[in-house]
Amino acid sequence: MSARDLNRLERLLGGILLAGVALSATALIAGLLLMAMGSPGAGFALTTGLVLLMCIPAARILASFGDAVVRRDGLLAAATAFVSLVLLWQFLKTLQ
Amino acid sequence: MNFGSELLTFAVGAFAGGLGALLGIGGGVILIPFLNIALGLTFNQSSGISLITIIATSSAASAAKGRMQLVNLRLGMVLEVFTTSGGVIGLWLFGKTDSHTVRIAFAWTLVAIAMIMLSRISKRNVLDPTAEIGQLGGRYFDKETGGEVAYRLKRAPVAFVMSFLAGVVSNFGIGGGILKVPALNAWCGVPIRAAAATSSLMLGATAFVVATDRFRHGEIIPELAAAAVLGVLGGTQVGVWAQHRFHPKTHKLVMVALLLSVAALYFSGVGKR
Repeated sequence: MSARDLNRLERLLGGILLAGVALSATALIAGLLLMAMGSPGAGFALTTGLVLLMCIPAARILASFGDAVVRRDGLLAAATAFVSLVLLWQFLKTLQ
Repeated sequence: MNFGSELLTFAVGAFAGGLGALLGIGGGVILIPFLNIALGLTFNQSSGISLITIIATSSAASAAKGRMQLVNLRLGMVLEVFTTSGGVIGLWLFGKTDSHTVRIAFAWTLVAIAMIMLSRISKRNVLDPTAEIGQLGGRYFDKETGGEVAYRLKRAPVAFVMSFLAGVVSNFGIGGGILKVPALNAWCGVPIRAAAATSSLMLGATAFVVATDRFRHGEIIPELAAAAVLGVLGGTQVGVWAQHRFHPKTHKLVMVALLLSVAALYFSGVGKR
């Protein structure tokens, strides 16, 4: 992986992680505030925040997979495809 | 349960997040005994909340400015194949094995790793910056020495096996960094800072496997998880800041102390609920 490719991937993954954490933290803060006020919407906000948080690693792996495919990096594409399938399988089990 | 539990969880989460980001271990070793013993939650509820915070620590610590340069993305993504597989196998295994036997085996493993780290306390895994680093080695700028650090992955099968085991033990709710970081450093030639940063990024995917299972079974209490996550996010920023200010030897000594403390907890049979 060239230094330029690595820099681009680092920026992409850093952005995904940061956006995910910010969105999730906002929902969780809102949920706790609503709970303190006794609002019935607290549960929804808290659950949304937790689900968003759990989705961050999956989003990072999917982005890494896309990047590896574009760069034709066979080792990383195979590794991230495998991990994506495992996470997808777990996620689908959760939805059942 | 009143709002005091959330405030207390927030404070303990901040401490756990700081230490977790510093050492690349997720912080569950502090949070689980607190939730399990102090708040009286079941072990599965405690470990479920801990895994949620591990995802937060992993994401926030890796996104922090300058941290991504320490992460060996290639190595991390390859090792994730083994950690996530271990997580899935562990889910199946933990449902079938006597938990006392697993805990004791785990505690002895931690003691063994602590001893190996102590025996290599002054050894640094750095090469000449111009050296060939191989497919899974890495380079980063070391603020302490003001120069580039290069390293090569040694004994790859050991890294694979330890990552798989880290995935299995993530079912304890501890992320598995406590196995991966010492193993990568002591046996596989990865400098402690790179090992901690790479492990930290990987923890999120490993925790996802078990956390979604706990979530599915309704074992995650949303308000306590939210308080713990927010505390952890604050603490993580302090941990990332402190990481560059610790000498690698101090880093290793803190890790050894933590490994032995966790082993002692498991030997004493704490958190059997």
